[in-house]
Amino acid sequence: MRRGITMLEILVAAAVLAIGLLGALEVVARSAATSRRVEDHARAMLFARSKMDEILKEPLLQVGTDRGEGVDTGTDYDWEASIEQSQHPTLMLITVVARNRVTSEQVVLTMLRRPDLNPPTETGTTTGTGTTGTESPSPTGAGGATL
Amino acid sequence: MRRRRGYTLIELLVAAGLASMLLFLAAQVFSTTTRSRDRLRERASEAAALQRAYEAISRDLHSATVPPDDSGLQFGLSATSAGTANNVLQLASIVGEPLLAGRAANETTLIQYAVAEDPQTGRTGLWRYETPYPVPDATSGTTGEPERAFVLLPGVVQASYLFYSSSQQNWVETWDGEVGLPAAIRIDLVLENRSAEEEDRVESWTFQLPSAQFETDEANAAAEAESAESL
Repeated sequence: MRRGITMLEILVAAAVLAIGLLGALEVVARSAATSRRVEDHARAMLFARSKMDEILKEPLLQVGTDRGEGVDTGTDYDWEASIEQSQHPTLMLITVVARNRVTSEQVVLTMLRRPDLNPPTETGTTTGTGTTGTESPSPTGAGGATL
Repeated sequence: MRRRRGYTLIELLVAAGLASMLLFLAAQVFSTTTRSRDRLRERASEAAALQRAYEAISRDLHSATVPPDDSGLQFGLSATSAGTANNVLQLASIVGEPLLAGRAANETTLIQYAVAEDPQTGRTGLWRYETPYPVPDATSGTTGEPERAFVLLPGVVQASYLFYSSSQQNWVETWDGEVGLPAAIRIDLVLENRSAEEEDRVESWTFQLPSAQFETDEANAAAEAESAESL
């Protein structure tokens, strides 16, 4: 008599199939998560570049750090910015970090710039005359990035 | 003669039930996967479109320059443009497409951004208009037919602009082109929602205008030269 397939065998086969499916599902889920991270990274990059331009618009950079949250409801990013002296004596190093509030995925952007875009003032002549010192285009207190 | 035993009805039913359950699960997994792949693809293409638009605007604004004296069109917002009633951001920029159109990258043209409807799809989007100088109808503030117009970013419902004034150290809502270029521009784009339950998304982009700095440089240098002469 030919033996049919027992229930146990069917169950085992089903279990094997289920494990296989689960594996395939895992691959799909992982690739979905990866592509979401890539998208997230691209968005964070735009956010960071926008923030960087916000700092670069200032004619005068001052050493310091600042942080904040995305200004709009649509952004999920926190940012941190720092301005410090770079290894190059005449250039400042600007670092912007954008971090996704939900996934804490982060993007770091750095840039070098002259601290002062106004032309260098000949301090010798202005202090020498003493009369037009206030017209010096590089005020120390006012202006500059508020960092 | 030995009688072969077939499957009983019960066995058949159980087997069919199990098989259909498995098939059902597999189908569900399949459909979920397809749907999530579609959604991912949509979001990826959206992110790519955002990035493309950002690059294009960034290129325009980073090479923004003072418009020619006789153009009559200043940097800033204009109320009218090619067929739209919305706010239009206009600026002069050095463009050129050696790769696409064989034009050297040294031509100053009028660039305008405006939210308008795409006549083909009926969807609103951010348009970019490009009109070479001299602008045909500069006196009336309209530009006539731009040479090139295309949708920079589809799905934009509203766009607003803020200008950074270095002298006031603040963002201002309008910009008078007479005083040169602002140090930076912030563009807030309201994007249409993906579905009814989702709220509108806002993209807020800031672009710095490097040539604005050179303007102040020159102005300062001129002022300094004057004060030096007067001494």
